[in-house]
Amino acid sequence: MIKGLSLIIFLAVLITGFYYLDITSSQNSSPFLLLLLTLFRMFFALLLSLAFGLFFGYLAARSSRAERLVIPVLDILQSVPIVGFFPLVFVLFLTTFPGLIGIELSCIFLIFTSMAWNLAFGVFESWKTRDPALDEVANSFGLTNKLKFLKVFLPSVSPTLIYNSILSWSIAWFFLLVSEVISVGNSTNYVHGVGSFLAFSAIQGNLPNTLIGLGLILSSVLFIYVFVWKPLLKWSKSYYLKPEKSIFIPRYYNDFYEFLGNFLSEAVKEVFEILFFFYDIIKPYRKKILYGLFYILILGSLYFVLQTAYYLFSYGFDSSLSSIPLAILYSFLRILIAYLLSLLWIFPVCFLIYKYKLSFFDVISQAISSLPASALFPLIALVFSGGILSEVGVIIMIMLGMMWYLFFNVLAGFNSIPSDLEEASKVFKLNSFLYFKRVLFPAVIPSLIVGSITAWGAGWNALVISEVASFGHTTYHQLGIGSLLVDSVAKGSQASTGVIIIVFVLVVLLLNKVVWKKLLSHKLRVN
Amino acid sequence: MSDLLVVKDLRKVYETNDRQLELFKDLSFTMEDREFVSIIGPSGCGKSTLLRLIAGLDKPTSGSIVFQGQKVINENLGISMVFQSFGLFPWLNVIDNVAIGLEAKGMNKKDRYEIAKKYIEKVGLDGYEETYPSELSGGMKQRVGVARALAVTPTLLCMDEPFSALDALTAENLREEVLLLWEDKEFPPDSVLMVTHNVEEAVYMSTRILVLSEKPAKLIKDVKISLDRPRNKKSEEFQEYTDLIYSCLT
Repeated sequence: MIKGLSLIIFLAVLITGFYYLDITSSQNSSPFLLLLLTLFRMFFALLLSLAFGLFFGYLAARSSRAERLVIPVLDILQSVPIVGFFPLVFVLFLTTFPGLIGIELSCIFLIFTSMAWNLAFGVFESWKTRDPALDEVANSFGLTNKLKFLKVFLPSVSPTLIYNSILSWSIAWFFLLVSEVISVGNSTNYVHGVGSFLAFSAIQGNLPNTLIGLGLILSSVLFIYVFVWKPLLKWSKSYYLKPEKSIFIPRYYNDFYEFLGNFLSEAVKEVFEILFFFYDIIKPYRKKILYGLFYILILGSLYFVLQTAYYLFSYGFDSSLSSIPLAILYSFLRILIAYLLSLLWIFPVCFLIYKYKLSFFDVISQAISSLPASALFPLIALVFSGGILSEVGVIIMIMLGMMWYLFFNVLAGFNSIPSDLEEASKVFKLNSFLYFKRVLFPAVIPSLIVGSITAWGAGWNALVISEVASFGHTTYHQLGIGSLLVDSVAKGSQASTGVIIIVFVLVVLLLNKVVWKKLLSHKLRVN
Repeated sequence: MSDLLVVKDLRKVYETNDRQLELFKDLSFTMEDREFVSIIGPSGCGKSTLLRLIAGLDKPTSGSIVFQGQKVINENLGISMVFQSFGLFPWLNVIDNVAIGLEAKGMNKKDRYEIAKKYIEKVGLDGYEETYPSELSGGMKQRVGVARALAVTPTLLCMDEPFSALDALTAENLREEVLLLWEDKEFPPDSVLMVTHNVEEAVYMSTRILVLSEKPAKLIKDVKISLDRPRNKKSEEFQEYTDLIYSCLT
């Protein structure tokens, strides 16, 4: 209990300290302080996302009824671009908690919306595809639900949690510039942080400050990658549930991290014990609570749709709405080009990394991928402005937002080729062509499709920060569904915002269902 | 008889972060043509690694492996392998799996299918050519594995615990079939090197048994099995051999 309690107290102290820093700082505070505030904020959002992901992922994987509810809802939420949450945030936090707390909560919530969904999906998928033998073992030894959760569930999803946390962390950086500047209608709220510092400097056209902000972000990303994510990733490898017989995986060992890891995992377990205590109290009502939550969610979205319709009827169509079809076409073509360009470099590079075991490149790309490409955004606006150049800028931005999903999935696909298949292809002396045709290509196809799904999702989301950008007076603004949405949110026009969000979500879901899911379920056999 | 395989002063060390794991050292033995050699030893002593070194899938830390007078540098030569976990390509059907080594040799479809069919028949899987591995039972999968390994007419067949993932009855049948193939002069393999932890299996099948110690593994016993075939597991001599091997292991 001591460790769990101390962890909780530590978090409470962190929050208090954070709040104190927040009220005492201003937009002109030292950039270091602002960076610290941003890191705290991201950390809290990550904790929330982990809790969310564990809960809903577990829920969805446990019963098929819950799956039918949770997964589509998560699917929809995932496809809503971050700007689309602005109106919701406005109602939920800014009006209910006026002042600093409201702004701070909105910001953390926005960061949360860029982190949570993939965690939930990751938990769901890894728990769904676990080794059934584990359950049988757990049942045969009569483990209670609590023990099953702590000894079977948590350890078996922890590699996914770590992997997806890293991913979430970099997505959050990517959208930080948007999350820390909450503008609805005429009011623009700058949250104290390095993201808003960067955005502010860019709008002012202050190049030195922009570069300072960039440098701070980049160095903290690298620092955290090297000292937190990389050791965690290595450690989680020994938790993988796919023992490969002929391969010897040395357990990652480092005294300091071992100590820290042991302490943390003990403490986390104890926190869960404490949570279980409260869970036991509400246990009799858990079904009611869950269904209540879902009804609220469904009613809320219904209300949103109806309200949008009402606004439409009472105020008539906004002129910008007529350009939606064309905007969608433009945005689609941009994503398509960005996708093809990404594939063009990713496939050969991943192949080379896999073939020549360039593990250092693996590390480098992990680090590069967590760099917030959107931070470069003001600079891209500066370089690529005017005419066709702006279009190049937009496509580069979309690529930066989507390509890493493709990269890591394709690489994972290559790396997931079982060692015995590789050995078999060596024993039977497959030449390169045959090896490609018979082994690599069929092995990579499934992960290529999965990667494409996420990459396209990310591409759609990246539109809202790719199609509009400005640095000082240099601005570019390309017609597309992303820029339409940003405009209508900025204008505070609820009706058109509502329509655009609904159309946006429908387009993304439609593409998912019609193109990608079909491809995924289709049995791909290359002969 | 000539030496088919000469293993000399073999040493293999795995480096982990700050520790070294020595799997075996000073390991030497030779194998002659037409032998059926089993390697037996406590689990984790590096038997499978040894087999992979011989097949050229992994490199020794020091020492040498010479096969048919040539040093084994990488996978090549007339060595073929049967894997414990089968190692079948899940996206290829049975006949394409069996024919993969022939396809690698550049053989055209008609010829390789013809040869593959012959071996599929030989392991008793005729009619399953179009089936995919996921639709086969463990025993059938390993039959595909054996057929695939033999289709390339290897001089030496390496088998890594080939029967340990199968149920007892299936394993029994497959053992007989492998023995028949080995005895059949018309068909490969001429020589077999098998890793196993099953003493009865080793005594039943082999002409010679190499017993390894705990790691770092050394050769502690080289036992020639001079029993007539088919061997009777109930016979006194058979029991003597198994007792001898067991006494080395414990």
